[in-house]
Amino acid sequence: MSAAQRLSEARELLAEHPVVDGHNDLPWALREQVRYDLARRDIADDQSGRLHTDIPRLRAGGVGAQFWSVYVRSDYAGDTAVSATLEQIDAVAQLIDRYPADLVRALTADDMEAARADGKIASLMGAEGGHSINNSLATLRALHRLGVRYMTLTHNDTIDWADSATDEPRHGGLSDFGREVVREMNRIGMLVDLSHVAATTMRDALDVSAAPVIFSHSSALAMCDHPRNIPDDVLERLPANGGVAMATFVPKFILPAAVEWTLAADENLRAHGFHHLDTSPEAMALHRAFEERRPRPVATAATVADHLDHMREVAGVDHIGIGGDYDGTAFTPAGLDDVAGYPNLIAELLTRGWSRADLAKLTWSNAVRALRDAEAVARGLSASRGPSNAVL
Amino acid sequence: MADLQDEPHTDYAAHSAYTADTVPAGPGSTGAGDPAAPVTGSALERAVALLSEHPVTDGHNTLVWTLRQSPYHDIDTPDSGVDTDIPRLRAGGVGAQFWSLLPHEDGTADQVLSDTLDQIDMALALMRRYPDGLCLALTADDMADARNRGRIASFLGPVPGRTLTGSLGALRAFHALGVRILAPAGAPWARDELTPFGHEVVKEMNRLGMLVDLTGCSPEVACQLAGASKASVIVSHTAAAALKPHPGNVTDEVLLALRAAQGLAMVTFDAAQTGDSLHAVADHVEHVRAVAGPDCVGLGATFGTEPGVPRPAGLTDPSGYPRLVAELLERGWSETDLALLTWGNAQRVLRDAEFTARAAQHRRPA
Repeated sequence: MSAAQRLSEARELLAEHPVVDGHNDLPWALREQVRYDLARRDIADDQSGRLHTDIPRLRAGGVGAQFWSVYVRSDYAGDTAVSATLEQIDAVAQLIDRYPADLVRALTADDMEAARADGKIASLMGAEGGHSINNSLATLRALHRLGVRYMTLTHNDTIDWADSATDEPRHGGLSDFGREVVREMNRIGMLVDLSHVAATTMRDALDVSAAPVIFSHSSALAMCDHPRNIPDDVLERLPANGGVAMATFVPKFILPAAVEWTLAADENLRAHGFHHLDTSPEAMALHRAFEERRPRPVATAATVADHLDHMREVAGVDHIGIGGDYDGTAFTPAGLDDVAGYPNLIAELLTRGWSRADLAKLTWSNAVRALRDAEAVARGLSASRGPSNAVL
Repeated sequence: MADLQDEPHTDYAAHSAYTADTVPAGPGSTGAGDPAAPVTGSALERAVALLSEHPVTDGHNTLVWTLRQSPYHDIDTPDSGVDTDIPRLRAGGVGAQFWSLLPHEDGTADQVLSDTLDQIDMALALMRRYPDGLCLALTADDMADARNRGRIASFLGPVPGRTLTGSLGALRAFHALGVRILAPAGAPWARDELTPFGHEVVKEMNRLGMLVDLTGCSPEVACQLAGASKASVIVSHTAAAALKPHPGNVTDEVLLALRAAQGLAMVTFDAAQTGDSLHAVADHVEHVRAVAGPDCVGLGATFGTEPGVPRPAGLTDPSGYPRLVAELLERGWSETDLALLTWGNAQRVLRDAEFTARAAQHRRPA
């Protein structure tokens, strides 16, 4: 089979089993670039060069469901974190209202299936970091009422009740209140997302959670030694838990050479007074200048496929998915440059002998099943206990 | 419970609180001490009958806040620990309640917004816990619907404007969570004057269909808000400054602005604002009607507290409304005006806000 044939088979497969992507930072990009002035970034048109994401490219990429991240910066705290999160949620609602022919609000697994049947992109929301709830379980419930269906327990910083993968540990994983947050998420039907958290937090959450967990955008530690990735002992627990690890495409997490390069590039940004996650034009210009001095190692679809092969081997084909992190990362792999790239990944996996049935699980059904199972757990738990009023 | 409530006349008549001989009239009214006095009895019976058709819409009750401080009250039974419970709301003929949602006042913690989300959560939990008594209301239609089903239509708000923390996204989240009334007083954008951002908040509230509550605003800001709002504004709990000067009471100037804007001033039963007799409250209601007009007067007792708040005699808890209505009947109020006072005016301002929102949404996206 030629490369062109494989790509066409990939597209055909995605038409039937579209991608559920676990994490896309378009809302934050719209906040930073145009302060949510959606008319200035009309995603019905090609936004290449400004954004990784627009509707034509989502369509070309075979995306059928997107968890839009309602991320707010990890250094936001208190009401600032909460109000920014509400603004992010509001922006997603506005996007859905603005593009009704392409995007449809989805709150449940049934909504996802209905969207697929209607040929629309099911739009779900995930909060990225427990700082978004300001240590308030009522705020967690408010986010759920407003449509948020997963919460990553931490972002890059350790918070009052959970350790992050990329910060100093304070709790040895989850604190007691952190365990209560997980229980309450189980009760209301919000998926527990373990991307970004310390391995100790992952293990604690798996111990507590009665519902499937997800990793909205994390890859395999065994393939690339970066704390944002998932250790094998955690991947091994997913079959018993029912959860899904959604492999991310971020080169600086998945390609060892890129890990090295990024450490140096981040240092360069900081030396010029920028935050190392800044993707403003000024910061990107600095990156380009740095790149001229030191060529950037380039990940490819094969790099992602290497992780997926490993994750399938360790977690099983029923427990893997895709979480690109588009518009949340400065660089993307070659061939997976933007949201139109998913067919290239599927073609690569076809080359490696993945069956159509396995690919359908990877792209669509595993993620839908995890949400459906979380809903069932929530129905059971909410019948037997009321809202938690625990405080930190 | 619900099917019994479908015949409200029967239900009210059966309720002992409504028989004339057990309900004392306000002190100072003629024959108040004489339970057999026929005039009082007939006025009270007429009041009860009127309320069964045109129940009270009360503009302000802080029970949700009180329950956060002491969550152990069961409001399904009359509980002496808090003045508001479902039996007494029913006895008082309350058909719709605006539940005030307040964050902690201390201001030390950076959590006024998450605190407010907590209050919203508590109010919703209260409705889930007492589904035979309370039901969430989002629209004027929901008011009538709740009345027909024997439930107390429960509106979320007023919420203080400062809880927005300057974020219109937070305002839209409040609306999405069910909040329908917001009180700008104390927000940085409505302190000395309505700032440009304040105008934006009002426009957005108009677009969403939320009521602007002028309570606590200076007369200048109140008039600016009334002028800026395309929909009718309310004052959820107040009294007439002309009768009793108090920072929470509205001046005649504001009442005239409400009259011009077809707004609604809802009279409180807080003795500090009205004076300590039922008569005094009736005087305030009459003054508001006289200045703002019969279309612009309502009730907002500000119950929902633990004992200790001074109340006018006879109006110490929500079961007192029929006594006030009886007093107004005796003062010669027509049933039409009373129906506006208790139910019609509030329903109108809610409808007006919804109509304004529908019109605005055609013109103005978020």
